[in-house]
Amino acid sequence: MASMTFDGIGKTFPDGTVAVANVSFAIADGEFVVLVGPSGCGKSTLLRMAAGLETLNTGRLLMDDADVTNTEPQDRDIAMVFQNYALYPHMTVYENMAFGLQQRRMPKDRIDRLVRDAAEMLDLTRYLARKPGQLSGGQRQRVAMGRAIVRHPMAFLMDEPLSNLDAKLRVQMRSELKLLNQRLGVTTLYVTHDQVEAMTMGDRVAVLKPVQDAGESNLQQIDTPQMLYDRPANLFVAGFIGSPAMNFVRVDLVEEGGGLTAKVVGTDIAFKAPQGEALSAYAGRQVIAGIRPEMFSVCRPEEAVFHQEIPVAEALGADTFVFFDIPSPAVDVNDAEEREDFSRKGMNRMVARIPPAATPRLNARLPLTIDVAALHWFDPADGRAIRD
Amino acid sequence: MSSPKARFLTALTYAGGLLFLAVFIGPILWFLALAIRPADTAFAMPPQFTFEPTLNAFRHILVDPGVNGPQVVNSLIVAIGAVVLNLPFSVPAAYALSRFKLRGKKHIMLWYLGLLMAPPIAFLIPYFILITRIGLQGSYFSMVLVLQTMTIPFSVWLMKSFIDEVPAELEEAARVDGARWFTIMWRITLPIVRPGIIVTSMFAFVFAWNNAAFPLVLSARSTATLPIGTLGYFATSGVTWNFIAAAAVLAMIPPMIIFLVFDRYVVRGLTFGSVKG
Ligand SMILES: Nc1ncnc2c1ncn2[C@@H]1O[C@H](COP(=O)(O)OP(=O)(O)O)[C@@H](O)[C@H]1O
Ligand SMILES: [Mg+2]
Repeated sequence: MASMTFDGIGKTFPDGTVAVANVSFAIADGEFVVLVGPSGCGKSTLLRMAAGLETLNTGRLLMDDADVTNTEPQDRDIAMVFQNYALYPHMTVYENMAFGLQQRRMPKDRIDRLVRDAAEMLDLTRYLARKPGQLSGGQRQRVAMGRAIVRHPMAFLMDEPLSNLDAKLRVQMRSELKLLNQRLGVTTLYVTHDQVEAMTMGDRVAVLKPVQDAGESNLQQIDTPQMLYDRPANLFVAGFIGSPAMNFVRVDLVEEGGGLTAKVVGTDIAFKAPQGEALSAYAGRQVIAGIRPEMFSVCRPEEAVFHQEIPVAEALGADTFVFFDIPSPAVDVNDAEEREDFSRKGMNRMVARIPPAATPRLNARLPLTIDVAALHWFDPADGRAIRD
Repeated sequence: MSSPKARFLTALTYAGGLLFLAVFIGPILWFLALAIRPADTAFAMPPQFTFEPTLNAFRHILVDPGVNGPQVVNSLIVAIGAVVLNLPFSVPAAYALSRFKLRGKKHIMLWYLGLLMAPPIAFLIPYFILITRIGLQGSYFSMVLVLQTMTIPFSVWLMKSFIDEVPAELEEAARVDGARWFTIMWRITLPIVRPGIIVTSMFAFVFAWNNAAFPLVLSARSTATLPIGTLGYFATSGVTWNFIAAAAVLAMIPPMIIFLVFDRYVVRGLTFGSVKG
């Protein structure tokens, strides 16, 4: 087991694609860190660099303070679970698991014991003599895991290991994997594009974003799941974490009667902004307000902040999500700066979570108020969160 | 039973299949018949479909005087030699062309294809001169060597397509598992492409076995292969069709056996679900 440090890591492919730039973070010994982000944000590349399968253009990689930047994968003592499992098709499950141990010139009886222990742990004992082609998807996934844990490596690297499983099995394996990690206590770097997987599994989660040039950084924020949700560092993280996603509205902050009023751009919707030094500095300017679906509550019409027709309602049983449009320019989390022509009437679709009993008739207007104190605020220039 | 229409279609399918068989198997059966019928009935008019089978032709070519017996052995030596010399060159070449970023990779592959398409006759004179100059004329090795100009390009093309099918992740997984390149090659990649190696060897063998052009100019009397012996019957006083047929039947046997034994490798998939289910 080991800690891992990514220090200013960058990778530009020979064709000029900047996949990873300026990524720095550390994983503590035994920690489970998840890399999450949309497709193409460099998750796999970062993981492959950690494995030594991809060279670095910039930066250093440390394992327990030893610089392994230029160490071959063979010498890193890490185990990797590939998205497609990459099981050796011509070997039995037993041989698949034993292969890595054989490379370490371990005595046969020791290999046998380790393989059988790992198989026991993963409920694979019955399948040891089978070849991967004779296994179901879930069993193959277990074998891939077994091949990793049998070696008791310094760290696990996993690239979307559950993405080829069906939804039910995925949920089940999610908790099994997490339990396994807690039991073994092995440092784990886990890649997924699924934010639910990230939130439920990671001790900490690193949110990544695709980069265009080597001056940017993929890493948007690395924190505990709860902190990412409660205190997103910027628009991208705020928009990525949470389902349904956070609503963003452009507002003009106007000083009125000793306080700040937020006027939603393009509409006559307005609400009081909370007190706070950081936000006060933006008085007279435009900012972006972030409203999570659960920050809305149904109210009497005279208290309503939003009072729009509801064209779509999704009943999930315990909750209902209602959608409505406001005639205000939408916000692009990748590029917060306002570019839209104001005269063009952009619509911004919002979503609110309400109790099922409060669901209005289709296309009826629903009065909604918001928990102003809980709102998130972002600087439209760089998308950064505005906080005291 | 099924509807009349379905039955009609089934009948049609069988009829088509039989026609197909007649076109492809017919000549072979005719040759077989030619080899075992009395010599004087070969071109009898009207054709005789019944005759007293005789092994005289086979006796003639294999035992008395038995010119072709040693030629079968020569053919085997040359064909097996061609396979043995072929693999250590074509497999690594195919591996490199499949896996590594090489400058001019496309050109190399096209050049190989060009070699395959060019008529071997066009190269006969230069090969003959080269082989004679280095004093190899008449040796088995000269034929095995020159055959490589056809078998290696073909084998590289074939092997490359097999190696292309092996996901790079398998080799990466092995690297992470701690294996060096030799182990990866020997224990991962080669075993997985074993069907490919077998198919490649099959084709190289049959290619060399059937080749007549190179032995024609490169072999000596003692190293002549079966096709040379067969051709010989066209030249002697009058064409002896039943000897030709017997030699041809003999020549058909090894490729047939090989395809019967190994045909499952030709169609077998490669990765048996390592990557996707
Ligand atoms: N071998 C490669 N050559 C060129 N570009 C690549 C290569 N591998 C990945 N990329 C590019 O790098 C970016 C990041 O890819 P990747 O790490 O696979 O993203 P993710 O796993 O987050 O989906 C993408 O734009 C992808 O197209
Ligand atoms: Mg990926």
